[in-house]
Amino acid sequence: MLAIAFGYGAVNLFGGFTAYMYEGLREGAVYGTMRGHLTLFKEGFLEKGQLDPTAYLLSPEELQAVEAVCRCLPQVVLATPQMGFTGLISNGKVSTIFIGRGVMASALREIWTRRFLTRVQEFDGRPLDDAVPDGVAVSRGLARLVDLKLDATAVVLANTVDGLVNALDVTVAQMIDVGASALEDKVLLAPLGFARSLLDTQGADRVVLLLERYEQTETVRARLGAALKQAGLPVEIRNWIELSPEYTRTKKMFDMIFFFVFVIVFVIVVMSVVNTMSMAVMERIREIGTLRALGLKRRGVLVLFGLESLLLGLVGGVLGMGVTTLGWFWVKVAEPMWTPPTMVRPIPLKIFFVPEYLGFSWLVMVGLCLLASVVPARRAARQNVVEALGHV
Amino acid sequence: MALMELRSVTKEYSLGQLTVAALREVDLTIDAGEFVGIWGPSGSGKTTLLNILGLIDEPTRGLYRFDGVDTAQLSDDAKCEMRNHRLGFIFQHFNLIPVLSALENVMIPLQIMGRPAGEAAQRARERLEQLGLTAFVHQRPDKLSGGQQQRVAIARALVTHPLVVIADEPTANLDSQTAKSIVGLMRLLNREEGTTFVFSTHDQRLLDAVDRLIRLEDGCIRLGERGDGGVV
Repeated sequence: MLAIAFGYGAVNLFGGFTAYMYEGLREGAVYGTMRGHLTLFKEGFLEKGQLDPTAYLLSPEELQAVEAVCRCLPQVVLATPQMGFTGLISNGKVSTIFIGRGVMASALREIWTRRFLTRVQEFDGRPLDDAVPDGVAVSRGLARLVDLKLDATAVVLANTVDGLVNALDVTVAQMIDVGASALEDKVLLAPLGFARSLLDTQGADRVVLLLERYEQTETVRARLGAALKQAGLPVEIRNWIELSPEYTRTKKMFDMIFFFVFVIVFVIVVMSVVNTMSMAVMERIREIGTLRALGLKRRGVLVLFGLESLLLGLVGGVLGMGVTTLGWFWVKVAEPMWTPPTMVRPIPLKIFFVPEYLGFSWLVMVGLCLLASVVPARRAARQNVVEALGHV
Repeated sequence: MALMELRSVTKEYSLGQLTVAALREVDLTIDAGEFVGIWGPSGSGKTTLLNILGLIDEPTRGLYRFDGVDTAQLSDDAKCEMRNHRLGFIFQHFNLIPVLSALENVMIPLQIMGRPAGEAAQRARERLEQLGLTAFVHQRPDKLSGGQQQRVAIARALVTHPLVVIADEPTANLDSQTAKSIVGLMRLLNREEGTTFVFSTHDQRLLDAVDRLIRLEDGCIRLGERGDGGVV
């Protein structure tokens, strides 16, 4: 029974941890990377936008119209334009490439404050300010490459949307942490006004939408698609999963790990139940013989052992719920810190209490206990009565 | 009509390449209400005979009719029902379920029969009271003496009002005084309730009490030492 209880507890605690990981990844994808739940691009931008930026940017009029349509939907809490760009950053002596994003500073604060699990101070310095367009954020790795400190000045060079080279001075307003090592020495965030000046445009390449809840994503996508079509706006919509392939990959990896843990634990449980029931049969051969002599039918013996196994699963599951609750409570109280692979600063480890997991794994556990009792119970039921009565 | 009727019954066991006959061409008839003792040396086939009479074993050859029914035609489930409804068993080692109380042990045959728990408990209690075990109904077997355990086993055998009680060496594990009281009790139940008793024994006190004695030797029935000619 202890094997069942601890196996059940282990599966559910790991399940709770996995649920927490999924939520953390989702938060990272939607809020951490500032993609929001839905992102709107001009039709064809994702395929040909790099080749002909002018043709695939959303113009100020289109942006206004798109944002107006978005704000008609009550689930949309934020619709904000963004602009991606790349170029070189130089301290006057050395230069290196960067990947930049122009954002509305006020919207950025709104997006980041909606994080729950991964809410940590991710920058040093002062917040970006739309009123101070040349105050930019650079990743620590990028700052190291070109030897920039807070409040240092640098020059950024990029092609305008018309293909000309443009250069603007910037001041390092903040240093940011980027979890992905591939981007750690490349990221630059700037107020949207700066990005527009650098690229010499008043448009934006996307509009990011934040919704009240994740679950609304597809409903809003459908309604928004219809509304935009009706308004005659040539826009395509991507959800956060489509734009975050790393989320899907990581989730699949955790699903696989969880599956293996689940299988290993349940194999242990099944073996324990088979062992327990086999021992019970061995120890009770004489009793089985007596009951059979008194008139108990073979299926009666099967039912007896099945019930015992069922009870084993039910009580083991209840004890396992206790183990899960204790583990969950300890993590809640102790708040151990850890650094997830996509972050550079430690955050509190959490284990979610997921009633669906508890219920489902309890049913699976009871089912497996019943299944595991079949072979020993059949062996008991097939005992020869005379031999069973003579068993010592 | 005879209650139990064996015709040319042989029971053989295989021991590797060897076949051993525990019973050889046994013919036997037992009528309702008889108090029959089976006597013989160890290995003479007493237990095998009782097992066949009690429907927990089958003859290799021959015919066994119980209450007019050819038992060879019965399925395992039908034999179970016959054992449950018409037969009672008393074992040498009592064979009580150790985790159950005396009352619960006696309730078992009724519960197998499908009687409601309340009714089963009431009938089991009455049997235990009849056998002088009122004070021990809630005791587990390990808290009872050998004699008390055997009384519980007798109560269990009789609680369904069976036609026949099969008892294999019922006094073998009891002291002299207790054995005497158990013998008296069985005889009393036989006379008062008309229950047929068939038992194997080496106990002279039981042998003295029987209506009819069947002597087994090497799997064959010898002439009865006492009785009314029931031995064929």
